[in-house]
Amino acid sequence: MAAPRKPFEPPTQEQADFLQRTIEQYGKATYNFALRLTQNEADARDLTQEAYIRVYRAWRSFQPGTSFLSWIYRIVTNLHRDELRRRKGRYQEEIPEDNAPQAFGGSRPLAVEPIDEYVESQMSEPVSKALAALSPDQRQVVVLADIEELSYQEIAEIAGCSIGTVRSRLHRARHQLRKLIEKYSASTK
Amino acid sequence: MTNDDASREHPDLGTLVDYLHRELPPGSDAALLAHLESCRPCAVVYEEQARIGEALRMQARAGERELPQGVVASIWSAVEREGSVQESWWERLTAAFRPVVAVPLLVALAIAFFYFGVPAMHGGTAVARTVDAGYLLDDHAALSSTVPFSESAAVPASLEQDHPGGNQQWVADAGAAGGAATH
Amino acid sequence: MQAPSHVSYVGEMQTMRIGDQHGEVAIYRVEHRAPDMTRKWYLAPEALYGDSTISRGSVSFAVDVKRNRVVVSENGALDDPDVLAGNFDLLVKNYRAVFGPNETFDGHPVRVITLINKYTGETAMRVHVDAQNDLVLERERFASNGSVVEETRFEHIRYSNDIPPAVFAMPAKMDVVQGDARTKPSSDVNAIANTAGFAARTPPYLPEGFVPVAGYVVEINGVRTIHLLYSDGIRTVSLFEDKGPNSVDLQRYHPTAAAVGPDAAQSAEQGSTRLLVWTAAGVHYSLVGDLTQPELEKIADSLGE
Repeated sequence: MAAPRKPFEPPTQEQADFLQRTIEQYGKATYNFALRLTQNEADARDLTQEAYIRVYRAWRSFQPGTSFLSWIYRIVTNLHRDELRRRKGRYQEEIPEDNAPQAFGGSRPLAVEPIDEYVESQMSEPVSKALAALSPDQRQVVVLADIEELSYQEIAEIAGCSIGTVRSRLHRARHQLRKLIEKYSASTK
Repeated sequence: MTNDDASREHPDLGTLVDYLHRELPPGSDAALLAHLESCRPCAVVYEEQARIGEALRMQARAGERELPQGVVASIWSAVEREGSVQESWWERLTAAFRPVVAVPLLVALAIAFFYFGVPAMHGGTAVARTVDAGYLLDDHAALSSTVPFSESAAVPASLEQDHPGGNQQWVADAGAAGGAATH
Repeated sequence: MQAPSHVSYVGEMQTMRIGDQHGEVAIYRVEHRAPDMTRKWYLAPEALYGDSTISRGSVSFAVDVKRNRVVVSENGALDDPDVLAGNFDLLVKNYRAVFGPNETFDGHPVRVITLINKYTGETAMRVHVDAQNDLVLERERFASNGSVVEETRFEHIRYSNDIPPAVFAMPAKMDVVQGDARTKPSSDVNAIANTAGFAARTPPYLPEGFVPVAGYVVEINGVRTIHLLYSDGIRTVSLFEDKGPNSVDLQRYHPTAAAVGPDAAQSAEQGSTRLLVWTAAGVHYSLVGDLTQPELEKIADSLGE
């Protein structure tokens, strides 16, 4: 039996203004979050676009006074996860957390385009490579904890898991980052 | 926990990571600090983790990108397809149209803004990561408009779908353009 | 499609551009007022899109309804009558004009002129010109195999000296925002290349009939970039070069992989305009123009010699 249809609500100026404001204030942060998650521009663009379309549709469910960024990051995370599932044949989605880390290049990116040559050449290469080598769930928790500097509680809400899971993922990620950075630092000497 | 107990109980990596992220309960927090002050090997591991965090943040900051205009345009196109607020915009546009003898004034303002406003706005050169190819297409069209029957002369690029919106801010080199002889 | 100084008109124009991968069609409404050459374009129907562009001479005002703003741009290239006249000489030099048969369009007698490339013998373009006022009513551009790559024509046109000034009025209550402001280009392309600040190159190979036409040095987000235009009077190709950290983002145009000598490249198209982008020896190159892919690659390869 189909779910009852919500009555159609014609879009309002308020809705469009909300979208415009949030694009202006948070569009860049959202795009960069998507870029760090996916490690390639094409997927980041798609994710950002799709997330904002969801924001537009669900604008009434945003609670003023709460963190818009947490809300849209949750949307981006869910969309990313859905996309990974859809591409399961080409990409191994869930790496069991006690497995060895994916070597760089072993975890195939969602699209052909690797991270921009410019970023690689200019940035701390071992750290950049190490982050790219993590599994998607580990990379996500590192991005949210270390780059976005969110609390475990906020990360749990965004990632849709328990604080305990956030904690253990981050611990393992940090452990693997340490080993990967050592490895990539040694290979550049 | 006594100081002796603290120095014997070396924290594991997970605990140090939690401490780094200020996620330890207040009591454990203080005890760990005391331990780190007296245990050099643990302090070394902690500092290493702190440096990894710093490097991640630095790399993220340096690699930060602007939101591509194409993404913004796609969002609005998708929104329009869902039925956006054309009616009130149209009403506003028609209500706003007035015969205004303002074109020369606007040109003067625009030129003044360009020469004085743009450098002030940008405060010197900024480093870009990517240049939308739409800019190159626009610039090619603009220069080609001098060619008779050029395709680009027909319709302004600003009306094309997915136009980047002329948001690429740039300053022509007046020295090179002005100094060279014309034919 | 040039903006004549002696005839005012209102019309509906359709453009169609056909690339190798996809094509695009758009319909515009145009109102043009002589002699000050004020022009207004909008995507038709206006009620659906709402945007329009009003131009006079080298200044244009793009009305962006979505963002409630007017973007003011200036194209200095349109200010220089010498460049325009010189390019017409180039067309006459490289193309042979064949006249007829005469036709009528919307009740107006029309001269049909076919332009044939003197070097290849291929028909490059056909224009339908109003016999009474020289307004170009239709223009078709052809690929070397004779297929149409671009067609721009008026669907309807009405000559009128009664276009109300209000049509060209700037909308009030909109933010005025600075867009691109291009100064007048220089015709001394080699001098431009020499002022780039890095070892800029000009292409040793160009298709027959092509000469350097104009160029300038610009700063795109702080990076010094040269833009050189080459043309044979009808077809044009631009070469952009810079040595900064920018990379060109072609994602919106669905690029495909290509190669220029040993260097990886990307190619894409928008309608019948092609782009080829690559980096060699630390210099970023972009070729943009209405040439075929093999022709662009040949120019690109010659830059590596």
